[in-house]
Amino acid sequence: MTTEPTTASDANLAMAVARWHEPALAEIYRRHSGAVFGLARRLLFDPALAEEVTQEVFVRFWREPERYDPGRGTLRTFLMSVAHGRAIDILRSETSRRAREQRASAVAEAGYDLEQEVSDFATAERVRKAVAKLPDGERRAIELAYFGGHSYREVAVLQNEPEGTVKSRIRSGLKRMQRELSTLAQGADR
Amino acid sequence: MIHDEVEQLLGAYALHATDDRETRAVEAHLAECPRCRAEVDAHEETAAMLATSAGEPPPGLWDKIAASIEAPPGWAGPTVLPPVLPATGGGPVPPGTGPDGRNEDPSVAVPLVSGRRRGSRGGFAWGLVAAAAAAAAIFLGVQVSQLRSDVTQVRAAMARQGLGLLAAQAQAGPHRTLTLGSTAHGAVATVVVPVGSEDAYWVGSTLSTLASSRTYQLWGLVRGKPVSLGVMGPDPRAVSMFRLEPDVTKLMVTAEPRGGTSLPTTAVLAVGDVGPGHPVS
Repeated sequence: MTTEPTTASDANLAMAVARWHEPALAEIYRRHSGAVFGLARRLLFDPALAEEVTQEVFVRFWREPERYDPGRGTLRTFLMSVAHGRAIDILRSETSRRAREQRASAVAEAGYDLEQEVSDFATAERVRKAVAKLPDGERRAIELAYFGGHSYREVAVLQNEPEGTVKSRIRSGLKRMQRELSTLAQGADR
Repeated sequence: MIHDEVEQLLGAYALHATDDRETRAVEAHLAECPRCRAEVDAHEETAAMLATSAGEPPPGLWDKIAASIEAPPGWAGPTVLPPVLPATGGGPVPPGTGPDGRNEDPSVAVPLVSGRRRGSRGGFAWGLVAAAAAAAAIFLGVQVSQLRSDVTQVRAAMARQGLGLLAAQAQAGPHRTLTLGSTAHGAVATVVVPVGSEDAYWVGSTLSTLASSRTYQLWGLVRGKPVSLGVMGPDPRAVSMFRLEPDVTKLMVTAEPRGGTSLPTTAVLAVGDVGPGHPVS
């Protein structure tokens, strides 16, 4: 039994949120809002929209904590996935033309670089290594879809490849990364 | 859409890169195919690890969130007060709490001993937590799926019957009963603590109902200092839930202005020992 929100596990905090225990949500926010906000801003290039997404993610979790299934993954992954989906919705909506334009110019300046995205101490090196092992086509397809917010069809146009190829690249790239990450993690564990 | 077609889409689906029709088809398939479900879960876990370029959320965002999360339907009166969270590192602070931890909003009672909790969580510690969470994605494939149904059950029960049912469940199971009383009136209030839980329930009292401008407020004594555990409204018979931390040695109740106060301003009406058996772990 954990004794306070700051040391409780994510799973216990989720349980406490189900009991409308606001400090538990505060602690979940403390732990994950940076990553959620960072992802939303990375996709939307607009701090105000990123803030909106972040707020939505946590308010929605407060209202519907049962949508998170601990059997399927970590709370962080769940929140990130919700944030990613919501940011993509905004990107693809008509009303976000301004954000799209801002994004386009920012992308033109900076370009995407998966290897620069990861800044998280212990995990960073492993993720960098795993990303580095991806064939260029796979890495690029994942970058364009995940951080660029493009559908796989758009990625196919951008990469000048058949749609089927892009679908496979995204899937095989993710699988390759997963294998690589678990190998590296086991190595780090020893 | 046949299985193979859906399977080809699983990576793109996990990155929200499918169109609406494909998304619906994949979701319909995932509902009945555990293998594909597991593959998508793994893809989402991998994708979330890519996105670790954390940003600092704008200050004040937590306040907006806290202001927009509403009480559940049927949740009458009793407030579960937030415990003190470390306010360093730009993290969230309880609503109504000023930057110095003092109460700015008179309608919100705040806990008393600011900064009591161990450990501040600045950027560095946050990074460790995030890294640990990401590492857990790799190391800990095993999760307690039981938990989700518990979450669903708790929410359903509270939506249906509110705190009363939870308190009744607590009393039906293994629990300890704490009594608050005074020399003048004897025992005047009862608190139920389920074994193995830090949730506690104020389940009733013979104290009299207050005017609506006032509230009963529950205090825990922590290393000799009173810490607000919650305001309970003017009706002492209403069930309240609060968090009973292991370092609380005594419970006390006072009558305060509506919204509660940060320190007791009136005489203690009843007091009780938390006693042995706590903490439970």
